Amino acid sequence: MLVVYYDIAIIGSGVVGLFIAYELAHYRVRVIVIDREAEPGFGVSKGHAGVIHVVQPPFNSLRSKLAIEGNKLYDGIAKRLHVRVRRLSTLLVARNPIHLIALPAVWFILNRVYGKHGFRVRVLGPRELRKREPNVKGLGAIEVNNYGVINSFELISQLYNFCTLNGIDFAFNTEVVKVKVLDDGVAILTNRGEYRARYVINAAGLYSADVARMFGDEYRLEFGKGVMLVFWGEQTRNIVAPLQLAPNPKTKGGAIIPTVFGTTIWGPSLSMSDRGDRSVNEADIEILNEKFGGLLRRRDFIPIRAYAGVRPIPEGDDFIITYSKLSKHIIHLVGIESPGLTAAPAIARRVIEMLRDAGAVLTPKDEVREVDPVVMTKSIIEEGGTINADQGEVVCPCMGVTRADIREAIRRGARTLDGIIFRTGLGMGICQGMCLGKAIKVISEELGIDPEKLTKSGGNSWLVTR
Amino acid sequence: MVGYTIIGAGLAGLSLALELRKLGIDFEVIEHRDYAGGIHNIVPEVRDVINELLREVDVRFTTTAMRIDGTVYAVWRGGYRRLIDNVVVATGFRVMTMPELGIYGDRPAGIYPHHAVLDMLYYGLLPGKNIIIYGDNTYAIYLAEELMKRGVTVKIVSPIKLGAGTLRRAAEVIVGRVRYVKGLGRVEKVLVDNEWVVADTLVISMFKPFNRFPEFRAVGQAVIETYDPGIIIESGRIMARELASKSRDFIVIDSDLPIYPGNRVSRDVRRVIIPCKGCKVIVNDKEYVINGDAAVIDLPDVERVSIRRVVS
Ligand SMILES: Cc1cc2nc3c(=O)[nH]c(=O)nc-3n(C[C@H](O)[C@H](O)[C@H](O)COP(=O)(O)OP(=O)(O)OC[C@H]3O[C@@H](n4cnc5c(N)ncnc54)[C@H](O)[C@@H]3O)c2cc1C
Repeated sequence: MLVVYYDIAIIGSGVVGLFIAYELAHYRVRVIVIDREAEPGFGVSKGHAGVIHVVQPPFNSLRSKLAIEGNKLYDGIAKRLHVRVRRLSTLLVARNPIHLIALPAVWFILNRVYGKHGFRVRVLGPRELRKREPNVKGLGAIEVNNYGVINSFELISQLYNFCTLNGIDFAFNTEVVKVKVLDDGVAILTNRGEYRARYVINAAGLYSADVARMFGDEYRLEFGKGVMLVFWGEQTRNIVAPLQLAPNPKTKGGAIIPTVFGTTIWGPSLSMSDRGDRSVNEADIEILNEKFGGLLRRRDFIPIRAYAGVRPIPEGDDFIITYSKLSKHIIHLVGIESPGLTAAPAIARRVIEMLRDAGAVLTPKDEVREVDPVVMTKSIIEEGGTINADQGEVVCPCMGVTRADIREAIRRGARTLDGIIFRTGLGMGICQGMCLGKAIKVISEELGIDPEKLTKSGGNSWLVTR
Repeated sequence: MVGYTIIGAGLAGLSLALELRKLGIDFEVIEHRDYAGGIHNIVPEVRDVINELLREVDVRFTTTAMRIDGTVYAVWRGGYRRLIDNVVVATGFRVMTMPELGIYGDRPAGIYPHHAVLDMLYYGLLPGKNIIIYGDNTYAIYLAEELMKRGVTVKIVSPIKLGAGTLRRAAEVIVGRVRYVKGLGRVEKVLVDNEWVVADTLVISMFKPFNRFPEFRAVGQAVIETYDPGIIIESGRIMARELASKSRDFIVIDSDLPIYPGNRVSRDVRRVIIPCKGCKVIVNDKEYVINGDAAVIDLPDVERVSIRRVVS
């Protein structure tokens, strides 16, 4: 049987694995990224809220440090990869007189911590709050700037494109089941054959502790489910959350979040769950309604979708980024919970340093190829350009997705319906898939497969029959 | 030179078009799909009416109205145009969303809005083999029949009892609410009230009026919650006459119910639709009982009309 040799193998093509691959794409090394899912970013990175955070409590944690570093890296990365990032503030809203009285004290504490890192914190009085957020009810607020929201699907897709363009290999539908540490590297056994690599990076998200255990390294993970409710239309201009003086674990975290798509997310909530449980329950939605409903003046927004994501929460509630006890050639990233999306660029840089310290030779390439921006037909129309027949065949009217956009998404790696949805926004509007019949036909045609063979996200997620 | 652009070649859009033609007003009908009829495509009697209308009215198929930022465009294979005014929206109902319906659980493959299934049928595809249709209306029943003709198992789940006699074939009807969906890759089972029903597909056939381009006026199910083809056709006729009316005289309606086509109607037309299922209303001093889900009412020739719902 053929064994393929690599310098570095990355287990996991979530946002963390992809950022590491992106960094490595700048060096003369042979890299493979292995993922059990059908496409990049189908793990934890599929179900988050897309917020670029600032400082995280506890303030001295690795999570907080890497989030701050990651936050500052995002604008440059977004520009280079042509990914939409929208910078905005977070407003912590005082809803009762006690909150209002507490504002200066809260400001004092936050300003000391956040200010140190260059994040501005301000107190907004009622009039200013009203002016900034006409739809928000409150007596005042604390404003923290330098937050962001990102089209994380576009980010994943562009990172992946950058990597493939620069010679990184990917193996999808490939599950690592066993590893053997050899003298000159690691043998990685998968359901689809064996890979060998001199260095291995475990970026397996929810399964990071299992992969670590294959090397004899023990970590314990708990799983925290977060539910998000998506509304059609924009409710606020900034991220808005109620000010909480005493932490209440039941309603920890979450906010009203304007997205780059013009929709609004309420959430995420947090509840302990199983790793495989992405169900949305009535109680989750009730918590969100209770927490955020009262913050808004206008409430006639249409909820279009609810979804859940699961975070891997490690012991000690902080990221674990470490060498294996066996060898410095193995690096574990365990429990990359929230704000892992924010921290990912900084995590990747740290991993590069660790590889160097472990003896990896990383010589910069002479030339690195850059990715093109994704140009959707709707932006051509907006700019008054000419369109051809396939650019004029609209498949999803709500989100303005055409046959040409689907073809382009496929060219950029989409193989499943979700892959198309993430890259184009198809079906994510108020119609919630009224276009799916036509979409399934067109996607199958463009992939050149029978519609019966198309899946939502691989595995048993078939879509149609005859 | 086109006069009006009608978005949607369903019963409403085509009825409006025919009436405009009779009144000598120019128009074009654009349709996103490559077939006409929309939700009524599989409703036999209405399909006949639509075929009749199509003999009189031309439709530009695969031509889609869509919003890009603040602007609405008509887009077709190879070109596009801005839609600025003289536009009427006839895009019909939207399907209600899972959160609106209070359906929780997993989100596997196999959950489809009604219209997606209409398209599948048109393209010779089936959404699954063991299907639950969640709907409280005739469209759910017609869809069930159409699917059963193709040899798949169908159960209708409806929160209310469906009228006897409407079911010509024996689709099983469960009275209850869909509460939860379970399935990892594909739909595996659906919780109806307190009982799990095994299925591989859940079709949502619950609807709401929705005008996706509220800057323009609308006809039919885009604005009126009705399941009565007669009312839909009538809304097209009323709109055509409103558009044709040259008179500057209006009737101002003071109403505690939503009125179609609005609270200021042309004095030459003097006809409105009151959507209010089974309601009793007083129009000035005349009392009407609405038998179906909406009623067409001719207004008296006066400047102001008051419409009040009688709550007994
Ligand atoms: C509800 C929720 C909301 C969140 N909101 C935010 C937010 O707003 N901002 C923010 O910064 N962060 C947020 N996060 C956190 C963020 O989403 C995660 O930290 C981040 O996506 C983690 O990425 P990852 O690459 O580590 O994991 P993953 O995306 O899970 O990637 C791991 C990959 O490894 C693969 N894999 C696992 N085991 C194997 C194996 N044995 N063989 C092969 N492949 C394997 C998986 O298939 C998966 O694709 C949120 C998380 C949740 C759950």
